[in-house]
Amino acid sequence: MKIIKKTFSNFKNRFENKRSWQIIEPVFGALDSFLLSTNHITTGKVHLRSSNNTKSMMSWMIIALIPTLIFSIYNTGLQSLIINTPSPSFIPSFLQGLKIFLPIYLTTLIVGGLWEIIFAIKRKEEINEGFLVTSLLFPLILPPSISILQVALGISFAVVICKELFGGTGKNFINPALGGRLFLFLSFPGSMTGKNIWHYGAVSLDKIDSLTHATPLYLSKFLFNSDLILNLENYGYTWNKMFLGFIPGSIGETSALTCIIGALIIITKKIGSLRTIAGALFASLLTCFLINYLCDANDYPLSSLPFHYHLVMGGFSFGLVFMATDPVSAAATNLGKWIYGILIGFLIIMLRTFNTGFSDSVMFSILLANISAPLIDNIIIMFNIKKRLKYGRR
Amino acid sequence: MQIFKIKNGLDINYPFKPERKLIPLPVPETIGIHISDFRGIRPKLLVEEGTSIKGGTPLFNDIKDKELAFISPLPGKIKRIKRDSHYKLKLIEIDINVDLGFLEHQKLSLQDIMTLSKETALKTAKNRGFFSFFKTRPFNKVPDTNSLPKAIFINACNSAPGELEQGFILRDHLKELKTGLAFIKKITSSKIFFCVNTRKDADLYKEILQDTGTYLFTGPHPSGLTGTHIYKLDPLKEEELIWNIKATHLRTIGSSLNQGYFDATRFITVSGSNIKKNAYYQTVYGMPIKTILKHTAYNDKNSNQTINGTVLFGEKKKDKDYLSWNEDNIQTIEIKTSRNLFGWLLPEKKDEEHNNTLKGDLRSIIQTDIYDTVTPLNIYSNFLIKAILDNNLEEAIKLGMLELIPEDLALATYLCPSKIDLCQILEQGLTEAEKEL
Repeated sequence: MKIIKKTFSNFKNRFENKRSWQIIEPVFGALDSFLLSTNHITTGKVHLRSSNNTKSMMSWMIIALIPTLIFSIYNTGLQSLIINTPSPSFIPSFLQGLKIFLPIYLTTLIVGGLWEIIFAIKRKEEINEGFLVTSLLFPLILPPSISILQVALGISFAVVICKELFGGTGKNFINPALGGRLFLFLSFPGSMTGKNIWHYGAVSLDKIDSLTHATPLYLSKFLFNSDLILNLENYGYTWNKMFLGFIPGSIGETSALTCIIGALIIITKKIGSLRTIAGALFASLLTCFLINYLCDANDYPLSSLPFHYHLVMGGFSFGLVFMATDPVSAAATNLGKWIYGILIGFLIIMLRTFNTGFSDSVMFSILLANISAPLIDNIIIMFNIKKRLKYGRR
Repeated sequence: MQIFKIKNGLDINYPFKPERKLIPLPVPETIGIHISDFRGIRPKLLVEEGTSIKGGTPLFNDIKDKELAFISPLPGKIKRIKRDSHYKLKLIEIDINVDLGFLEHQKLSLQDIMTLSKETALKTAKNRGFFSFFKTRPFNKVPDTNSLPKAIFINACNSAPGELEQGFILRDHLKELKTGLAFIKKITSSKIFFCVNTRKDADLYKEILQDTGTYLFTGPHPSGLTGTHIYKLDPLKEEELIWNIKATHLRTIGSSLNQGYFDATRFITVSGSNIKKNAYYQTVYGMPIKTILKHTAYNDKNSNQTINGTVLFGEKKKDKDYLSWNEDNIQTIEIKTSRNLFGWLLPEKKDEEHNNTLKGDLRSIIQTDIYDTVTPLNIYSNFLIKAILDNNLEEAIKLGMLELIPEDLALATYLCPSKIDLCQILEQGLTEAEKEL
């Protein structure tokens, strides 16, 4: 440890003295503050600061993602092997999952990291730790069969257009990872939607009955005139299986259980807001109930799906826990968070049921709510100002 | 008595809480008055270097109001008058000579005060330097005596970490407090709010507060801040003015009136990482920091920052500086220079938390909702701060900037994971607004 400290202080002197070295200072600074705790001293009138900082926030976010990460690597491998082997065991599945996941993750990390470094050097700022979370979230919302080039393009869009152009972490108005996914979704619809992209290696296999390997949500849209739940069970999608996450889907979205564990960590550590999650759950429950009651299942098959199935299908739980709660792109006022959550919940169920074009709607709902968040806040602030003026005139 | 329960707040664990033991300190050789303690006045010097003055002699007054005097608490000879590079008055140092005596006025008992007219009372307060203890809202400055406030808030609370418990001092000085209270009632006919933190304190003051409103604020810090009291009791409206004063300073006013000359005695707490005798001290206004620290058997070997105020909100002081006029606490905090491997990842030990490192790096605001969890006011701090940073003063004022002083946002600054100094930003905004209004 002493050696590390000594090397770093030596290097620091070199950065101060040599001009040519200063260009890579942001990289050095990030590494330096990653390894050793900072000793910057308070300058203002508040002398004591809490040990709560952005680095620990981000590391808790990553800890919250670990259960999802481990499960999703396993499940991705499982879904890939299941095409040829009826019941693959844990270790081969996990290794296969790593084989699929690691190239995607490393591409995200390297390409996105390079962009971060370029912007940090240009701005003469330290590299922001927020990227570590974005780079972990992004691969988890991609289908396993995505190509490396597409991943590189997607993360470039996420980092450059959705985040850095607006000033970096904390100034972005939409969730960068979702922004990147939207870009891929609209640019390469063939690789992002469909029935056989969810199994790595399945694209080339024409012989399999692709409908049996589609995601439950995709499947549901075609099951007209029948008992939806029974039909889903016929295809092997029971509620328990979907809750645990042994179904095809984007790499990280399948398991509701691991998302609940993540939600508990995020909420107890006060990184994400319980208000957003509660608002979204409440609104989706209400919307779902109304649709179940009012709509004809013959026109829209999903309108007969009960609420607890919505929760475990598609990206509902993952999006709600890890994407909607992002404090930067969510509404900032407490009441605003409720409205923001309600908007997300309402949109998810409405779009899922009535939009037959796309299979899932979580990404669109959250992005739409992201864009509406400043408006929601503005309205609440306006009321606050009005209230203040009122007691001003009393 | 009305009771308010404050929910949004936080009590920070402070390991060096001062012992409830009063230690008297001897009169120092030199005292000093920092002019920056009296915010909002333009001082005009009335004494010269080398003049001998009695205790209570005006040292300087306000250019706008010549009667508004700021006095020397003790008799002596003016040692040095320090100005900054812009020739702005900064510090007056006085060599103490007790033999010179005090400037004598008429002794006023409680009954005498009852018979005073409003004009005489106001004049007495101005001439004898009592206005130096009052602060206004908005802007937290010395009041302009031409415009009277709508209300006066008397603060007998303590909720900041390790802050002076006013009840502990004032239980022996109720008579003086009563005189002071009667006197400020003579100055203005505005409403008076007396705010306390504990039921015990409320019972203590019961006798002297028969015809004054007492308000009990329970709950975590900032339940003891005047900003919280104003918001709950009588929110500051447009173009309105509120004065506030600490109960211990009201005691000084009452005692000075009773004695007929300025009572320079004051009570402070000294506590912190390198202080051996964390306790209450009886001292005088303008005491040198170094002398105080010497009497507390402090360890000057490790590097420590002395703060006049609490660790949560206070002014940095060097050893050569003097005690602030209105601040009753001195605390020290360790200056930590060592760095830990993966320090940000490990949870900090409770006793290691008390140092003045930032414990993180400066970032943009990420956790937007954390500030309002510790601010019991109807203020959206996040948007207020952004409006000030955007130089949009109009918006900032609409969002309630004038209701705040920097101390109200100290807890939010403490908690901020992006290490943004909200107090400093608010101070900038208030200074700008003051220039424009």
